[in-house]
Amino acid sequence: MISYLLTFVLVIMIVYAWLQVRSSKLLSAILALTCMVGLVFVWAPELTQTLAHFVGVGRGADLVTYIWIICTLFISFNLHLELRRERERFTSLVRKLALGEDLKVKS
Amino acid sequence: MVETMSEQTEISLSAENREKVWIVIAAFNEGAAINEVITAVRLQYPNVVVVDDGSADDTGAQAQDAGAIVLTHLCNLGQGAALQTGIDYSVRKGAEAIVTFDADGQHHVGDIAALVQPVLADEVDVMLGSRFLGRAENIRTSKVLTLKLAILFTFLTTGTKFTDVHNGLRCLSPRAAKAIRIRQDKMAHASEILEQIVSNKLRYREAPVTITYTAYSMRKGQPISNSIRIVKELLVARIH
Repeated sequence: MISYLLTFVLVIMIVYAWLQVRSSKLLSAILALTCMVGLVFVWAPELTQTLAHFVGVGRGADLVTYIWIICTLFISFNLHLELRRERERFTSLVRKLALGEDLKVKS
Repeated sequence: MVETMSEQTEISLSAENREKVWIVIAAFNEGAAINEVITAVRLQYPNVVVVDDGSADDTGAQAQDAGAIVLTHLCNLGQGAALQTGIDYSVRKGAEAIVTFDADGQHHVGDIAALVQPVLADEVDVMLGSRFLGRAENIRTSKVLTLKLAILFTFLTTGTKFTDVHNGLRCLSPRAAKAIRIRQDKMAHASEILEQIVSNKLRYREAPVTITYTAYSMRKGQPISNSIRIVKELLVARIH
């Protein structure tokens, strides 16, 4: 049952990654690839064990956890950079208002 | 090229030259002090632009009362953003020397002329005030230590040794004002300006100034814990 649920979620994420290609090709590719690897692990969990032994981690579940932590940190950092970009646009808008300029904010 | 002046000298500018100078003051909730600061500045320099950075008090009205041109940020962005707005405005107004000056009264109007004169004479693009070449009255030991660490950090990141960093009293030529673009909205802008002076190969010199810390300015100033945030912002800015 859980395999079907995870498959459903991961497929939705792959579709989401495909829809985000315009924003960032690199991020979309990484997200889609991660989800595809996740799908393989859902249907062939013994592969995680093999891979874990190969990279020197005791259990397959531990390896999945470590990968998940790295992915979460990567996503958080990317969100931080996106927030900085948004803040720059916001600053530009407030400055233009203060200077009485036309409101054409570069995207 | 690094040059320093080791002694504070009294320089007087002609009225004609003082007209070429624009003083930029970023102000956030400075209603209690801003009127007095602007009045003192305007006795010598008529062109003062205050950027009211989303103050909740009557900073804007007080500044206008004292004769400054007031630009208003609709919300608080930070000192770096406010200075950039004031610098943009001054450049458009045809300023030949743009001086950034703190709103809390810790800078001395008498120090401005020594910063402006080399810029007007086209000897340098940027003049930087240095409290360690001049005087820092009532400065706390913890503040000195933090500033010394900031000087070391700036040396490590720019390869250039400044005698002071995070000193808000500086003078920019129009060329420097156009070359330097402050992207650090908050307090990291001071380090960012130094980095851009070096990366844009601008001619600069340091000059002694006096900073007087009062109970008011110390309360308004940034806490020392901010230095960690500043380092983080500067490091992230290298990626983005």
